[in-house]
Amino acid sequence: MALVAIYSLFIINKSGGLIYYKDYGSAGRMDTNDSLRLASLWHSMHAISQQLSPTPGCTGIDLLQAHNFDLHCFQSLTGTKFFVVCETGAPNMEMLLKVIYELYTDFVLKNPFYEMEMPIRCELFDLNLAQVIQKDRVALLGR
Amino acid sequence: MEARIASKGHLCPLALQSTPSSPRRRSTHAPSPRLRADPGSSSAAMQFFGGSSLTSVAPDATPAPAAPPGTGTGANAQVLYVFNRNGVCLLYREWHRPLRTLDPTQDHKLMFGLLFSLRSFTAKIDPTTAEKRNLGVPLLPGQGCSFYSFKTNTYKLNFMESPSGIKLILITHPRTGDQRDSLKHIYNLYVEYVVKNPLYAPGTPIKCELFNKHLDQYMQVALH
Repeated sequence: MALVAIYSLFIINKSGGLIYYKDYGSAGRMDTNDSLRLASLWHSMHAISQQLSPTPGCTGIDLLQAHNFDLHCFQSLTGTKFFVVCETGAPNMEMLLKVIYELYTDFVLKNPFYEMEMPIRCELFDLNLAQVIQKDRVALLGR
Repeated sequence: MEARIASKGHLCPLALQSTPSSPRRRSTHAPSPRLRADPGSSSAAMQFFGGSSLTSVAPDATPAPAAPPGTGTGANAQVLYVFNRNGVCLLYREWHRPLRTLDPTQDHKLMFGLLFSLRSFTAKIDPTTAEKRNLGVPLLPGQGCSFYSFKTNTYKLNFMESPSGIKLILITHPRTGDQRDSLKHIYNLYVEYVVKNPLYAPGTPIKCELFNKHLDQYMQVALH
């Protein structure tokens, strides 16, 4: 497999339901049920990490560092969470998440046929997202 | 590892039955010349090794990694949890903790639950391994992909699991660097002063004077 910076992208709504999932070349098959479970599990982990905070004003996990990957998470003000699974030490993931959020607001929220908190099926969002990820990969290859 | 601990436990009534305190360590062990000659070791590490003869007994001859730095701001928390593989909280220490929302037992249970679930989460989501177990199946220590830290805006949690299932959790300021070496050092202290203590019964809360003393010394470097 070629150099892959991002393995997968998840978007979960404010109640922990998976509304968007895209795989960019992780090893092994993950079926729909598994991705749904992982999304809701992440939602709860995020909430528990706020409960356990030893200091006031905690907003949940931003970055999870595992031995084989990094997970960057961004939570919007409305409670929608975006998280990417990427290579360890991949840079500029916060920026990428902000860009994805921008695409979400532009092409999903402004779509009059989109129902809030429901799975995202917007062609334009898919298209622009693919472009952004592609650009990110090219930038990474150019390092 | 567990078997070794158990055998220590059986030794307990035979050896040192009347000694109430922790066993004394050999204090003749001088710091290794490599340690003194190492120009790269920070002043923090030197402070750790430099004091009385007792402090010079390092669990291993390598210099201690620099303890996590303290910043003195409000977001600076320093908390350590030690769990065994059954989820019993063996040790809870806090050097600085501004906020307590839950009572201690609830806090420990929630923390262990979080780690348990995060372990199965990382093992399942791991994008580099093709063969994965189902989500929710309990994992043995070292099985599947594990994590070593996570970060929120107000704290960073550093995690280490030993092959025997001892879990060390160190909470620090969110901007501290990689603490895997610090955790290894704390684990060394645990092996040296808790596991090798004949009066310590495995699976019970740690009440070893020497361990606490060395832990405090190590962490104090961080606070001041």
